Amino acid sequence: MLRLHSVNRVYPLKGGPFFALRNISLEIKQGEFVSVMGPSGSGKSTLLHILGMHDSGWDGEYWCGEDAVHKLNVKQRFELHKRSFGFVFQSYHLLDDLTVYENLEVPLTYRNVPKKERESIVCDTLDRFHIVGKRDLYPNQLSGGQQQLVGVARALVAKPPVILADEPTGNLHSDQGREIMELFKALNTEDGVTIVQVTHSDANAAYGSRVIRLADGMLVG
Amino acid sequence: MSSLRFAIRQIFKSPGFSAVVVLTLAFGLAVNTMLFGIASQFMLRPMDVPHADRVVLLAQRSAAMKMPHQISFPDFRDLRESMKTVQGMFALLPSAAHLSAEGKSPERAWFEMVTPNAFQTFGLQAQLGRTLLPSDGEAPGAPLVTVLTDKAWRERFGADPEIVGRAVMINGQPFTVVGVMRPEFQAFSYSMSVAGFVPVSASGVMRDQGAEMLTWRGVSAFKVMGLLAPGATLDAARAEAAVVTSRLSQEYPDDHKEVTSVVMRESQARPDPIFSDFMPVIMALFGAMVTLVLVIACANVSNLMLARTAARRKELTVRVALGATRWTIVRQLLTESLVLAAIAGVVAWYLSDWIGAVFMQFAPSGDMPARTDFTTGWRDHAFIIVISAAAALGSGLLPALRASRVDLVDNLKGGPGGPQGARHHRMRNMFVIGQVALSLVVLCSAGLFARSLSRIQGLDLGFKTDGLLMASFDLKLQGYDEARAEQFRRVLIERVQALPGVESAALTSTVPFSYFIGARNAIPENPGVPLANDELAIGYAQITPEFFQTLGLRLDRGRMIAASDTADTPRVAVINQAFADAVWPGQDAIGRRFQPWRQGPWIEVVGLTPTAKYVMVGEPPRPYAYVPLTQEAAAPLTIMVRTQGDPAALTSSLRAALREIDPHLPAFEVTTMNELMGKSAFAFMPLRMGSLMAGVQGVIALLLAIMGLYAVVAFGVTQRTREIGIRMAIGAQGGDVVRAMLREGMRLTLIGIGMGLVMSALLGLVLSKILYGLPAFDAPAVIGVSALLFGIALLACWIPARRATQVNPLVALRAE
Repeated sequence: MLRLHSVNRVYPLKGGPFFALRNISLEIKQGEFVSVMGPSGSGKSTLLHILGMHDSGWDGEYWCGEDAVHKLNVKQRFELHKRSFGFVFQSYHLLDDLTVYENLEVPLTYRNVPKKERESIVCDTLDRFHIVGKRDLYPNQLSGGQQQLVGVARALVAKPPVILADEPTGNLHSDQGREIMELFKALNTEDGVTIVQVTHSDANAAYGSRVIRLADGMLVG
Repeated sequence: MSSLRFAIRQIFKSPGFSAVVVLTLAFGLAVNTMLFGIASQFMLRPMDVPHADRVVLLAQRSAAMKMPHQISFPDFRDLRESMKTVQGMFALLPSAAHLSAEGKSPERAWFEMVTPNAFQTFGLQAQLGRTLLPSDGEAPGAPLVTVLTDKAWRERFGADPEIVGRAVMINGQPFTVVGVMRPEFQAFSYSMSVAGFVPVSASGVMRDQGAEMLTWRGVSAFKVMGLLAPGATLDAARAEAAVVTSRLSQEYPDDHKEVTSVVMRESQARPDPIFSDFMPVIMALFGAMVTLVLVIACANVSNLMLARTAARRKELTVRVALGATRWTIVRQLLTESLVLAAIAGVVAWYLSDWIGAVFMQFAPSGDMPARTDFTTGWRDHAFIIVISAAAALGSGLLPALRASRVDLVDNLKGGPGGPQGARHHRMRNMFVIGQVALSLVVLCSAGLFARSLSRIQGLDLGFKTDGLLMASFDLKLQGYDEARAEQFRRVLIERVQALPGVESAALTSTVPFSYFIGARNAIPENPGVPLANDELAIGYAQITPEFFQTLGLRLDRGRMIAASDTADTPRVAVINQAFADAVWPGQDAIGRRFQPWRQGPWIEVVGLTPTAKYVMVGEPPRPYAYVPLTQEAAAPLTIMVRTQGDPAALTSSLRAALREIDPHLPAFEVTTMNELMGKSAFAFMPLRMGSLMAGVQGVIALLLAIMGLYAVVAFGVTQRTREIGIRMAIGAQGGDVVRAMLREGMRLTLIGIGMGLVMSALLGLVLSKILYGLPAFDAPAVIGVSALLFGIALLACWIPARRATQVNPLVALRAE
């Protein structure tokens, strides 16, 4: 599903080039639940942003399904990104001025989903994540766990085949973190959503099917 | 739709920010809207008649008057007969009259004497009765008929539905009312609102020597209008008018010295063709100034938006991460700008009404009834919509484009976004420099207007304006013969001089700086220098002996006009030094003679006064002659009263004195000389209005620039809180911090002032050509304004800089 071949991410610095990622080749199959682990500065988040097509300053080959990402122009990559990925952030990144309902609606408006259809999808999602009662609340009226639940719901609302999660439980206490990880597990096993998460926690990694380890920008296992 | 909803929510979420943006834009939009409103009313709006786009005005330039002026009636007739490119040509002449219903006291009113075909040319219909018809005639002797305007019918005749067929008294003569016009038509002169219309055949009743005016080719008094023939162009009409005028010049050379024809669209000849040469220049100048104010406002709002979008970086980053395109972000931010600008537009609409009302207090006023029923139309609405949208784009586009460039990875990782911050900062600095520079330009122009006004107000006018009260009346229109008029004048002077608080009183035919200019082409005897056609254009006033004392005019040589100068004694005059210098330079003018017009009586010079100002404040020395009223009758007349205290306090006494002598005589222009000077288009009014307009814009520009500077320094302080904390933790004093913070603001100010000085110098070149008494570079005004701007800018920077010293190092560092 996602395949990298000899991918490098280099930042030109005054003292010489800095390799954030070096010669990365890996493959993530559809339906996998992969955890990316490694010490701080090892390149985990960089890898996640390259996979999520937020970062385009790399070289090498990147295949997303049948699409050769390295050959796509900016617009094509953007379209592919919208079609393929949902993103979950460590600090939730909900839009503070929008209600829960509106936060879930935003990705759909960017995908030109008609209003009627949007209503239906958002209501289904609220129902599925058991947050119907929170639909008119603003993010600052929710607990951290509830905000991340909305964050996961928002990542899924446009039904992407892949969820990329950057330390999704990093800002949550252990009970809330566990709930989120169980939700990921369920999404992976029941809905077949491919999940790639960056985590420092072995316990969280255990929810996944495979671990990719990075150190100093290189794959070490 | 969701963009709009979100935009509205954003506006309510930050009411302070929104209010500042709305008010900033509203000020910029309001001055533009007000100026456009004036231009729209006076220059753009077509007359409310069919084929308004084809209405043209014919005028002439001549050796005596270089600006476009009216045409003589015989010339009008020849033009009408000869020209094919202008159809339905008609002539009109506004005239004051005494109007009354039978058995009632007369009131002063203005009528338009017109060739009766005018109504057919414009396709006008009456609401009662009929309009004037060609059968009402152009030659004296036709039946006396009139058509009233709706306003006069309602206000003076109580909207009497039976008025058609009845007689009303005009100048003591019965005129049959044949119709009442529809309310929307108030005059053929766009800027006037008259009481009614009479055919030119009644000119003998309407004006002194009115019947003769229809035959004199040398009296250029009639406004001539018509419709461009279908398919004819303005250029073709100009060419044809030039040919006809050239022929007339050859046939009647004495009455056509260097006469050329002018054909212009009616809308370009408002309020009078005489202004048509410089009105566009004045409008362009003020247009440029108000545009600058709007540009400053937009730059300021741009700066605020930049700061705000920087604060919203997280939100915009998440939106992009969720799939928003750059265009979606730009659209979202522009929607917010548009909503704010729309609110600003509404505020500006009402603000411009208020500013307009303030300016109207300075508008010229006089005896002639100006049209005041102007209402806003689609042009004004379209303008405010378009300019508000432009302001939204002007203020919001750059910040939106900047904000839409999201560095997703850096921002999602919570990075500082250093390079982008620096870019923002550079742009904000450029905006502030631009604002300071443009503010200086607008302030300088206000300073130059004020300097010019102060120079003009400091001019020696040649007479004392304080303590002078005036009232005008017209005995001719009231049907007085000369014997009765003489009696009236004598009794009036006696009664007014006997009023408590009156020092002296005099009568004159011409009031300085009024709209009535007594002018003659004098023929001096044995001039010491050659004169073109042996003539000299002079100002001319008929006065009573007390005139010089009342006005405070000095006598240099000879004697004043005396009570002993009567109709039975030789004709005499007191002239001014400019007259003497122009005709008898280096010679004694006393005892010399001149004729006030060709073949006129000889008048002997008996006295010499210094040259004063008579018509316009900035005029060059104008030759002038005063003759006794007893030797040459005149109407209307003005009684001028020199008072010991406040002249306005004697107004009711003066009116009462007039009423006691003739309770039915309408008095008009009862005012003090200082009021007249303030409102006269020929005295201080243009500069006062210009100073006020430029001053208001200057203050707004200054406020906007100061807000911009304040915002930049305050933003810098917020951004550098950690740095300030560190500096203070390692021993920096309050003064060190203030200086460091001030440095940036003042650097921007100085660069802005430097650029503004260059632009102001260029503006000074233009203004020195149209403002009185200004050099090309008026150092005191420019230096004064620069110092003012620098001082206020220093204060604007100091306040947030001072706040920086209150940063607690511990708190600042912990926050990081």
